[in-house]
Amino acid sequence: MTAVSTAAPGRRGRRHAWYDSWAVIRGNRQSLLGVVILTAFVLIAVLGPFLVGPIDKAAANKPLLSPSMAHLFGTDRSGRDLFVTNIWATRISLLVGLVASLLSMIIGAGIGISAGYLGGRWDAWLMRFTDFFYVLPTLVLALVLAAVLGPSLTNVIIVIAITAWPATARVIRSQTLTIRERMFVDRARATGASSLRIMRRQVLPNVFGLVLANTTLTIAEAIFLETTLSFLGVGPKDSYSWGRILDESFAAGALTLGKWAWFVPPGVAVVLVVLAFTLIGAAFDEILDPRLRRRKRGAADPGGPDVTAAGGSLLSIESPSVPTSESFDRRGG
Amino acid sequence: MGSAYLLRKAGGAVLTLFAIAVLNFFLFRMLPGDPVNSLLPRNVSQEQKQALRTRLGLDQPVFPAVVRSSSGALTVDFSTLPDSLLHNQFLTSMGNLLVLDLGMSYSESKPVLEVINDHLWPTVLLVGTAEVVALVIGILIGIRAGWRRGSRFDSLSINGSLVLYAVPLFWLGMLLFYLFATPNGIALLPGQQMVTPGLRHSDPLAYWVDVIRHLILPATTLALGLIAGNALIMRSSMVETLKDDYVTTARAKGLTDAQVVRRHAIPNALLPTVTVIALTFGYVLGGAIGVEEVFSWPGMGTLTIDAIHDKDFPVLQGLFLIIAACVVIANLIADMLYGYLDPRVRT
Repeated sequence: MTAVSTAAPGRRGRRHAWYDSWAVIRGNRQSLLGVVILTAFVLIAVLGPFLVGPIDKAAANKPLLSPSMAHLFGTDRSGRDLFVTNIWATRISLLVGLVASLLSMIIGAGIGISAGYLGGRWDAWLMRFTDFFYVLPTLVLALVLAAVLGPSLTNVIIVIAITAWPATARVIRSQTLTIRERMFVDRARATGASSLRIMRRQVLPNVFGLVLANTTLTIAEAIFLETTLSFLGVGPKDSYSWGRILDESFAAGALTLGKWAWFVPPGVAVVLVVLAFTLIGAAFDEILDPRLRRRKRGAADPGGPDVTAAGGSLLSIESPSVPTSESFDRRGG
Repeated sequence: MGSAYLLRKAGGAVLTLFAIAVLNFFLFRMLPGDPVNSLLPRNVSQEQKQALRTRLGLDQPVFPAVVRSSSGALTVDFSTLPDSLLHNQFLTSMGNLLVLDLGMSYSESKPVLEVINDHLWPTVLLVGTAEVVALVIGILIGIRAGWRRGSRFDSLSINGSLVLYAVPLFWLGMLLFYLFATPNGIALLPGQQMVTPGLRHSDPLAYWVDVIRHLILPATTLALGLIAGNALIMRSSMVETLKDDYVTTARAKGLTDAQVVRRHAIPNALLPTVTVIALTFGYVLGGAIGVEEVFSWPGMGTLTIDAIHDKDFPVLQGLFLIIAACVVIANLIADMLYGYLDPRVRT
């Protein structure tokens, strides 16, 4: 089996790839910005709750306070400190995004690789199944599922995973189709390896980069969806996310009360995080598709911010097949 | 257009619609517990419960040989077999669907179709307005950005679109509401409902002026979200088109830049854009839900949220079915449009 494995990129090649990736990110102001924003939020999510302490459930504070040094974002109707609540919500929102997209990645990659590698009737049925879920309006399906399953953190994660995987499956499938024709897969097949083994040992490592790149976009989508679901009142009731803060502020009339510090910070946080993931996703595309890099260097655009890669990858139009609504679906809300 | 292509696409759409109906049926049968319990107050007698069950058809087996036991769980019971092959909830509900009978709403004692119909036009008005505005503005921005690629306008519009793309539409709606519909900002416009409550309109004109004033904020919110996507699609389509050979040929013929863009690039770049936009219909309806909720716009989005809170599952089921069907039909139209505009895909 060692003879087969060496055909896949070796460790040295992989280290080189990591270095290359970092070079692309460093060389692109926009993706660097994405990395900086994301790092900040991850730090807040991991360390923040230890620094600010638990959300005060005893409501020791006065309700509906305006922002002050003691309460940076003021307090909500039951007297919870909104700064503390937002810090905790950062953890929950990122966690939901991460876990849900990991789940959806596993489903999407599994189905995509199987369809692409097995081909024939398997491919036809699996893709019919995928396309079926793909056409369903994401947010409406998620709302109905969440309403049926009931509001809890686990259920919201499941709902997001179920609605988010089809886009991934389609991308991974088309990549698998090209890898299937490569020499090292033929060689593995000749040594008598089973389909399952080839998919795991030969195909998966080679689509893994694409899976990762897709995850960045899926996380953004998942955070978006969680925020919308929570705002619409079917999100988890056992923990605070940005969406739930927005829901409570809206229900309590923060808009007419003029409590801007209640609903502005969580929204800004969503925008920043989703934007960061989009920018990083664009960089990933560049890493995976060196043609974009060359085109960019060739483009007469010295110094100015160029997100051609971002625009192109978000909304690639593959003629002559009908262009997809993937980029829109990803938002879901 | 080749009739084989057309038939294949239409057949696929019909199959998808059927699959949606089946999914819809099972999704709501998965609900734990007896729906009758959540419909009636606690202190009603068993007979009353049974009567309601019969009326709603819930006393039938769910599926051939599958019944709901008294505890609410689904169990397999073969003793019902010869009878349950024909008399079961699945066949009944599929049959009802064929005659567009979506059942009765739990919370309003009206047929589901009527309830949905009451909320249909506000959504059509909102989504239609936003879509038209976003189409015009988005495409114009996309043309300019794609034509002058790398210019200040280009990078400005791309960056703006990317940021706008990351904004949850309902939150954008909250900001606009705060800024333009409350005294905290400048209270320019009404931000709630579709008409001023309690106001008696003397003539249709006054009524429409009132509606349009209420429409401005939610439609702007939705349109802003759509403009970002449309501009990005149109831009990348423009960039691709300008690279094509016929554009080079047109330039070589000695046409001016403006002529090349107007006569050759724009018509060809519009082609994929229009289809992509038709494909985004599901997204538009999804986005409208949050926006309607913020502005209490009395459309299907608000109805969806109300149905979820009231546990009005027949309405929710009907909404899911109708919205999904709209999306499937929009996709079919997009497919056909594309096949019509681009002969290469017709095989």
